[in-house]
Amino acid sequence: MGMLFILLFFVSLFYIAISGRLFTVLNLLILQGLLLFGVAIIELNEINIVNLLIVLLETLIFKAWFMPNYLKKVVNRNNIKRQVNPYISGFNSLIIISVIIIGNLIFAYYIQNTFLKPAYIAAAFSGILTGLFLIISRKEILMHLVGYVVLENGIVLLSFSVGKEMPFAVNAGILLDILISVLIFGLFINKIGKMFEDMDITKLTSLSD
Amino acid sequence: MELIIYFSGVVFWALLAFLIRNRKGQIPVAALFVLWQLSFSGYLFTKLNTNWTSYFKNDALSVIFISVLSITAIFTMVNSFIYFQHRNEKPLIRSIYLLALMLFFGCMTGVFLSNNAGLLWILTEATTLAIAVLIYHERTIESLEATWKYVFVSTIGLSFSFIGIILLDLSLKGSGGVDLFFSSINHSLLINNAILFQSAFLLIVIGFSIKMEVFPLHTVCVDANSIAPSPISALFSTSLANVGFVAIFRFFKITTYTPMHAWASHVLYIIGALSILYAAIYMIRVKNYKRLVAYSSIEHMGLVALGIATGGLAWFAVILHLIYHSFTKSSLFFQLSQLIQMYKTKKLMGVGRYFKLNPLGGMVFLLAFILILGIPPSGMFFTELMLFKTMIEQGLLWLVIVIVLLLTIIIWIFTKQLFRILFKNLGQQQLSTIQPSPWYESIPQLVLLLFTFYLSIQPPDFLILLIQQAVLP
Repeated sequence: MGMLFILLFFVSLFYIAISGRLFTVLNLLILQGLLLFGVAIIELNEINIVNLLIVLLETLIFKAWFMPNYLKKVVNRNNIKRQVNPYISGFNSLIIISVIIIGNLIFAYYIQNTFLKPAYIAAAFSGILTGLFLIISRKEILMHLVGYVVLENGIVLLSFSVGKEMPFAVNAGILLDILISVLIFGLFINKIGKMFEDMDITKLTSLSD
Repeated sequence: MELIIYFSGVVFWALLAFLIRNRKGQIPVAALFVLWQLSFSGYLFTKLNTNWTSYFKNDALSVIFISVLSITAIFTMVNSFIYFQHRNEKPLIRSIYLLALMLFFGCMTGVFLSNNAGLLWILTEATTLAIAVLIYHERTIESLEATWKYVFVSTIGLSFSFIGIILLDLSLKGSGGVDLFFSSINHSLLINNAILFQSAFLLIVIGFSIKMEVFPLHTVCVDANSIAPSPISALFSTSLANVGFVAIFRFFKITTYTPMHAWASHVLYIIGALSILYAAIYMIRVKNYKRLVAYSSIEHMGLVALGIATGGLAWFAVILHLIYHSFTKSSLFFQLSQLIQMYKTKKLMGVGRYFKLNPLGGMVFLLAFILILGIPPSGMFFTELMLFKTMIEQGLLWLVIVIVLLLTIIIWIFTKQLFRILFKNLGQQQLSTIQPSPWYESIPQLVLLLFTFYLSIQPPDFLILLIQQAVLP
């Protein structure tokens, strides 16, 4: 069951990379939130019940419901449906994501460790790198946020995979998630949306020497 | 218990300052907060090496930097109110500023005291939240851009550190790395997976580099530094940089217990040298005096990174260097605040004749520049000398030569721009529009600089003892 979730996670990464429609991308974020919820149920059954409840609430409510829906609202308000030509096209993105995933699978099996499950590690690192890739290859601030959320999902997955040994890591990971997401989403998307109408990062270049 | 009292005190003063919207009413609250911070750091002096649960420990390193922070706090508060006086903001915005500032002090104190890698990381993350509000204070498009970039890059960087901390824990499992409590780590660690350990250290250093303002994530710091209100820039490139230093230093100390020590040193040598190189190159083409000073922070933190890597006597030197740097750089930024106020521009083109217009302010500049450039009797001259001497003893003469050449370029640019600010002639029309700021606004900076001079010439014995304790392996 866990393997199935991981496989779906990989598929969602591919799909995010090639999809040009913002709504599809946001729906995929919902899917990833649900997958994390599933992984948490399967993997974290040994940590104490309060921690587990927090984790489940966080993944289900925050990741699978609140964040994607909030971004959808922003998309609707600003009336942006598709991505404007990204720096790297869909097909090339697909190739890069494949390279990332294959590289991470090799890396994960290479660092064989008794505390780690290779598939989880590979999925987590692929998520992190895909997030970074989205940030550097897309122009909209919104896609940067999506990249950031994907990166966060990777980190949460990583902390789940070591959650039995380090419950502290799970808590810290979730704290990171909530603290920063509230800041980034709550404060800035509103302000930036108001000040820069089409939210394109090429507008953010006034600071230089 | 003491910590609970301290932190609840911070929250209390912050809320009080937030609720009182009147500027006159906020002054006593700010004064009481500073007193609170000072008395807490005084209390820490008497309780050296106490544990509060296993998560907080008061070691020599934390005492030193909390004291530096508290002394800077006095001057930051004074200058913040001078800044408010000139700007006439809405009361709400001013209240938000004070709230964020006080919480920022609380978070930084927490980082210095934390004894656990995870806790240190969480509190560092919290400083990002507070500083973001402060950078955005002026509510312009530039400040929005700077805040956005800073928050985004900082979060991603700190996520890297988080991954690094998880990997570090994994790579030390079963080898005495007891859940990454700094004080209880075994002095001869075995690494069960070298690649994991190396990637962990790299990720941690990359992440915290944004706080310490060194290569590779330092660029957004310069942007944020040049946009934030000057009292905040002062904190940003001194106390927050110290936070980054403490984090990287504590993690580096872990590597010294392992066979990976030499490798980790090399990483920091590269980071330090590249930071100084970057600062020197970008200073040449700089057009904005606030950015010039911000680049100087990168240079100094680069030197500090070299010092961490060198070890031995250099550790002593860099901690002393950071103390001098914190006081000098913050007074420089406070004085820049008046410069912006006077000339209404941050461009180097638009400033000049400062010595004539504001003699005392000019003196402050001159003193600060002597100190920051490490011209004797500046304490930074001696610390840099100590650092280079240790590096040469370790056979790194070539690196020292390169660094000294780069420092020469930096000194040349700094001096050139200083003379431009102090003596360049301005047109009659331009001069008539300038309103010199009153002389007494420079007094706090002068006091701080004279204090730094005193520390440079005769560092008190207890400080030397504390630093010696802090650098014990």
